[in-house]
Amino acid sequence: MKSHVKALTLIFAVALLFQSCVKDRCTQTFKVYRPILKAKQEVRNNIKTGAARALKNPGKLTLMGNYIFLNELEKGIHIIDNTNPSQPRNLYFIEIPGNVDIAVRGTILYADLYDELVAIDISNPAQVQLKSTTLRAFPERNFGNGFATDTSMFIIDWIAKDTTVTLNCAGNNAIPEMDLAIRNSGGLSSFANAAGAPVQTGINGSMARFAIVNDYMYTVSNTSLHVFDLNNSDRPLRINTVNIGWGIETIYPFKNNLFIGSQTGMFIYGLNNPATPHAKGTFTHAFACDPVVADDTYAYVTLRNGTACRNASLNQLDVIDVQDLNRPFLIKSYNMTNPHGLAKDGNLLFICDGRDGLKIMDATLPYSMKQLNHFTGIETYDVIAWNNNAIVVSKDALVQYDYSNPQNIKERSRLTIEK
Amino acid sequence: MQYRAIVQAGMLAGSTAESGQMQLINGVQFHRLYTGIGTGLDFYMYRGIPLFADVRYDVLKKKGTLFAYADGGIHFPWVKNQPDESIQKFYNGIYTDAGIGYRFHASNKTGLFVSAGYSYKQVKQRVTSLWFTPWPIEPVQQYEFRNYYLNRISIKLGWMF
Repeated sequence: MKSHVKALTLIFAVALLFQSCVKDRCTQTFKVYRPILKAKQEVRNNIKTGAARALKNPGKLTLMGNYIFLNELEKGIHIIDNTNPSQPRNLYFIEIPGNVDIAVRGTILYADLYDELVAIDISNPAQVQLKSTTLRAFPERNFGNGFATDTSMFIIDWIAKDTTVTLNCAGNNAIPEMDLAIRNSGGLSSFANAAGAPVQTGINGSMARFAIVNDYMYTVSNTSLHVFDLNNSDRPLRINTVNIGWGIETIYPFKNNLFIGSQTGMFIYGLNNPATPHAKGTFTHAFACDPVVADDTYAYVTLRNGTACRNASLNQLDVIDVQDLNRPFLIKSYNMTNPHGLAKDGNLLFICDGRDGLKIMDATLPYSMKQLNHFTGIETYDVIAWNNNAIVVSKDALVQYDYSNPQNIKERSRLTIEK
Repeated sequence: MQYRAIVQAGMLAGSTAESGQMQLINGVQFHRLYTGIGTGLDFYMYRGIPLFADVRYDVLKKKGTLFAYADGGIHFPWVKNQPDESIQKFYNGIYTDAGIGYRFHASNKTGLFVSAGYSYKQVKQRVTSLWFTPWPIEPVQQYEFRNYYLNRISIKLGWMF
């Protein structure tokens, strides 16, 4: 009995002795992003033709004649000579920090530079010239990644640094504030309009937020439709803002109408008075991300889920009858994997189905479409289909397809994206 | 050599919390040396299932004896109540426990025992956050990693049979 007591005393003495010695240690390792700032005037002065850069994180695109203007997300614009779609040449790069959207009319390219709208003369792509800057054109974009700068600076890049901090283990789920603060193939002059002739406009992808119809440019923010007068093409003038709703994402012009994709539905705005777009019809759908293209009879809307799309569960293509623009109605839905941008040329409908590649449908009978071809192994984002050539932005490359024979659509080239 | 099983339960006390544990070990006794494989539940901070090798040695040849033990293995997280499984992921970590104990003699094959020692487990967590890019580009996923190095005093009451 005595030995039992001794042993137990020893055991619990050990426990008591060491209890004050043990201490939990909890750490958190994350990247701290520090913005690299540059004076705004210096950034504007630097908007000129620079050497070609590798494609790294491409976004939206515009096709104007033989040139592809491809956005490099928040960095600027690649100028790609596409005279021979089988051998596109990445020629130049225009540095425009914060740039996401682009549109081209005649010899002027319009682009966002954070909250500013810049008009750039691209008549000679080898020597582009900044013509004007519209300040506060996009007030909702006066910051980058949640980090507001002062009024004299732009964020031109970010430096990422791995940082490890010690956490209070007792508050184990508390996330320390991410301290962001610490954290020449010729020109386009052929597009200059002859007196009285309509000015040619670039073809945008369906993910675009800029659309040009005649002498006006329309842009969408998360809640509004902005109207810019381009009569003086060098100096766009914002003349109107129309509140649309919430979750506005994309804009697609067709004839005298604008088809606007939002997270809650598709809005149709008429342009009888181009300076004052007026609401026509609305097609409402469940929460999802939603680019749209249209023709005289039907609108094609892709709905997808994803982190930016409220994690909706929908992944489908909706075909909507828009013969009566005031009363659009759904005629059929097709299941998709994770559809993004789309394009229509003639009876062919091209759908970027995210990680499921590019799908090409015969849309002769929109209520009974048949899949003609399916290119897998690429993660697709947006597409322009024009003149028997489909230009597809994917995660790995800018890929082009020859669809002159719809029964035998062939890949003709790819510009690889640097990883 | 004799097959023996151990069931034990007890408390874990560290600088962050006090919590419970329970274990089952199966192994063989060879003279004064016992080796086995064990598993159980560890409720300290992040619930998990340790899977470990157990070695223990009787200090005396007597029927009631002091013994020393050491465990080493892997801690498999079994975390519940996470708000969004898609953005949090837990990884396996190291599990150890070592200490001394005293076994009371009950019969030839069974014995009640108490033990005290130092126990350590590591839990690694990946949290996915979003790097928001201008609409409608998809946000870029960013990862941060949290490491929990948990040091505890382990006190157990068990039954060997």
